[in-house]
Amino acid sequence: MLLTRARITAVAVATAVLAVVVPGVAHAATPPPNDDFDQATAITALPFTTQQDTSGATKATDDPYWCQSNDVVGTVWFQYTAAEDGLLRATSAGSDRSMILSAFTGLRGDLRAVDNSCGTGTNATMTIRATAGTTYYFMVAGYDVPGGALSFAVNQIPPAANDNFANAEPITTLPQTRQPDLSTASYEADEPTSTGCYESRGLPSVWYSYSTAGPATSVTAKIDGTGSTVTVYSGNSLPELKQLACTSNFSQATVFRANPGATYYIRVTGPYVNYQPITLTLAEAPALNPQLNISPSYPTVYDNVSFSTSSWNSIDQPLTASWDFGDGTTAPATTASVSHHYTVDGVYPVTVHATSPDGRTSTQTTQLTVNTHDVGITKFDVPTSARDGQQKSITVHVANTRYPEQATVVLYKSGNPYWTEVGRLTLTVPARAKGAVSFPFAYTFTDDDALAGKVTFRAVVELPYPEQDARPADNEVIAIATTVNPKTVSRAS
Amino acid sequence: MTLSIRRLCLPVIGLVAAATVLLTPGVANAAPPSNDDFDSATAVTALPFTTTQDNTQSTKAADDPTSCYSWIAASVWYDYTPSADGVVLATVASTSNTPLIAAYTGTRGALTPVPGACTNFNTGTSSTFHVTAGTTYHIMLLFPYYGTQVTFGLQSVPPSPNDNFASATVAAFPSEQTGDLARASAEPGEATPSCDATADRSVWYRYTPDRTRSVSVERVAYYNSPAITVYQGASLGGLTEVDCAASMSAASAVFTATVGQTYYIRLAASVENAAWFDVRISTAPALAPGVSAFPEQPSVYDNITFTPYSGDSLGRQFVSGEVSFGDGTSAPINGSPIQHQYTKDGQYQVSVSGTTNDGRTGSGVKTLKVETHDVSLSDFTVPASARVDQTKSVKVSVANTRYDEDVKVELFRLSENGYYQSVGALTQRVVASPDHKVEFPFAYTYTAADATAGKVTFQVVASFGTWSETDDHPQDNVLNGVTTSVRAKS
Repeated sequence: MLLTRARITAVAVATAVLAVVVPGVAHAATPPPNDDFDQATAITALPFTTQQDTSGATKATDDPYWCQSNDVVGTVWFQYTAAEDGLLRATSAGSDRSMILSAFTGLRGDLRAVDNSCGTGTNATMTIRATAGTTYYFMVAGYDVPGGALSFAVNQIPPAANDNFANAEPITTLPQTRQPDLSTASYEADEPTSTGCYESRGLPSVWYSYSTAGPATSVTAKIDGTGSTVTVYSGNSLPELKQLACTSNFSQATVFRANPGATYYIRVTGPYVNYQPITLTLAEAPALNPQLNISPSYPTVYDNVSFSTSSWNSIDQPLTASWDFGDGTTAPATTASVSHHYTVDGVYPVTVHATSPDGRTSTQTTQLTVNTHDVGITKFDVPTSARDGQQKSITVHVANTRYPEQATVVLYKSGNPYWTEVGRLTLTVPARAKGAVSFPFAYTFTDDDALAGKVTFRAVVELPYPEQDARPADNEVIAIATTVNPKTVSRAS
Repeated sequence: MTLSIRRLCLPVIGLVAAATVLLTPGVANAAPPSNDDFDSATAVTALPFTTTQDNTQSTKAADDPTSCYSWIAASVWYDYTPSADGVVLATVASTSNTPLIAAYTGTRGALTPVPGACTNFNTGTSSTFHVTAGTTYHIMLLFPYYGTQVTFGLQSVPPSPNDNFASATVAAFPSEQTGDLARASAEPGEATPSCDATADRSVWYRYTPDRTRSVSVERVAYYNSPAITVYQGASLGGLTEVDCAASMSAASAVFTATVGQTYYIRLAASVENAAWFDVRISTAPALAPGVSAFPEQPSVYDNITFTPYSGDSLGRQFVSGEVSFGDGTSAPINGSPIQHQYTKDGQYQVSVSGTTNDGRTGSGVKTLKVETHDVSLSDFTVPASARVDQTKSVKVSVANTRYDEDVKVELFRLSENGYYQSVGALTQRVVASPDHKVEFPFAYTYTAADATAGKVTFQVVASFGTWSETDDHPQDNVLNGVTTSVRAKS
């Protein structure tokens, strides 16, 4: 009994001492058993999955700085010695918060990061290539916190089914969209590079093939994903492939012509790790429908009319176009604009046959109206001389061979510094092969005119708005100056 | 009974004693750590060894060696004498101000640096070096600014598995290979690479291609890159060097690998540069050849300089090849400048083809437009003599056999100050014609100043009306003429 009492007392004292010595630690989270690298949880078989509370994880001074290091405040460790070559995928999906995953090989203090082994987020994922016999150390940290309710899983994952050229996924109908997972892809021996697009060397690739029974189809390929490229090839083996098209620009598709009976290979390359999915879109190219540009849009027989086609779609360019001007003349196919001169007014059906580089065609006809209104001053009668106070007549002769016009002639006299309007007159000028209509004016010379000694007259003929004279070169005349003399000396009354 | 109670009390006292040790907080020691001085280095007796120590009070000694870093604020020492040859890895970790590691053999005052053991800010927090049985290695942790709490570790590491030629790793194709050359050693009988005589710490890979292809061995990491040497052969003494890329450079090795032949790839560095390498062995990129022409818009008067390029992303230039000018003539690519002059306007397909020194070939085409715009002046008619106030006619003709042009002819008079002054200008369309010339008429009134000078020197200059076109042969666009006698009014 004495024994028992002493024992109870000893225990009581020990507890009391313990309570004094270890102050305030009772409510903090305990570091998990795999807090330190040397006590990494051994993964002995795959698939592996575990749930653990890592909120008490701490950070060691030699925790490697590699993946999202500024947000690592506590780490736990797992280790796995790969039994065979292949891809492993680790994930923290199912955890209660954002995590940071990374993987290393080698010796403590000299750890080497495994390529592409950095994953962060609420479903942090990393896919690594493992070699048989190598030990991989997985470091799991909370994002800006030591940890939380961690759900951690590691499993083998097969390579992408269409990783290799030989296993290209056949595409038989359009349109199609694919979101390949490049983290499970690799590059092969003898893969060609993409010329003219974002660098593809050393990047993982997946392959698709396309063929059509007929008819020949233009197919567009578009890729959406940072650093990704879609390249289209023809050929039967990797060393024989010939590049047909490529694009890395998500806003600009590329196009290739698929002839019946041939197989086309479509390759997607991009980074192993991408935070947004990569999306490949294959579709039939839209019908060719270029804009038809004619300038001027209301031509006359005096214009060299310019004809061209254009398109906003980059895959349509450069457009080749041949023209039928509708007046019996044509222009052969060219990528440049063409010009044509109509000799007679009329309404002409202008037809353009356009072809895109990939072979889509379109034919359009538009009605072009050639309408030429033209009057001209053929004669301008002004007096050679006059006297102050004298009235003289001035006549403007207007000719017109085309359509009856209501023409207005405006008569001006020279001023200082501007022309001053003297008069205006509107008359019908019929269309006549020969002859002209006379527009009569009169002018009485002034003492100011005599002071200057010379007056110049100017005549302009206009057509009523909205008509425009097609050839204004003959619509304005400035005459030789009229000499103006002072009054004769008046007789004394 | 008394005995029993005493025995029961002991565990309690022991517990209190242990707790007491924990209770005493880490008061800053006023004294430096025990291994502050070289002579009292901590002896590392067995590997792996690890210790965490507070070095805030550590000091430097006047004779601390500065071969690794010239400025030492504080240092601590560890000694290790291995019982067998091998490779060791020393590591340091600290929450702040991690020290550098240096290692020495010899005695105080006569220390020899261990080659390659010094870490610096580029090589990080670990040091790997070779050790010999029985030699004492003095490992110094040096703080450039101040001492901190540091975890120091020393462990044995296995040598590289493919250190020796005989144990070359069979390289998968394509593959990325990585390893630490600091764990590799020089092997007797190895040939010295032709491009890097110092790279002797080597590892080996072996590759037998299943088809003939161009192979490149490229560095993936940009720093501390190894020397890459490719050999053909079967034994260390019977190797023929195929290609060589120097260490610490951006160069890659490229070679044609013939089906069925075995190639050895040696990655090596000097002991000072030996570090982790990361190289990719894969199919070499295809060439994308082209050629540039200067001038880019030539005429038949230009002797055009052509510069071919291989378009190799690995930087190999053509060692042979040909540039065909598209007019039936060509020139070889042999290092000499390539120049050519065309005799007729036209669009020429200039093609280039060539081979790099590793055996890759490629070709390219460029369309070169040759277009010559040229007019010439002739029949500059200037009065031989005149009198003051006389107005006389001056004219010149323009010939053009090529393309219709709008030609501007300007008439100048040489003035007293030595400069040509414009007297008049006229622009006319001169159509291309084999024989027809267009006359440009001017007039000039002779002045008293002309009579004083006694003569008038005229010049006509022809040019095109627009900025975008210039005459490709301006030598025949200027003519001078002199009225040799100018006299006063009669």
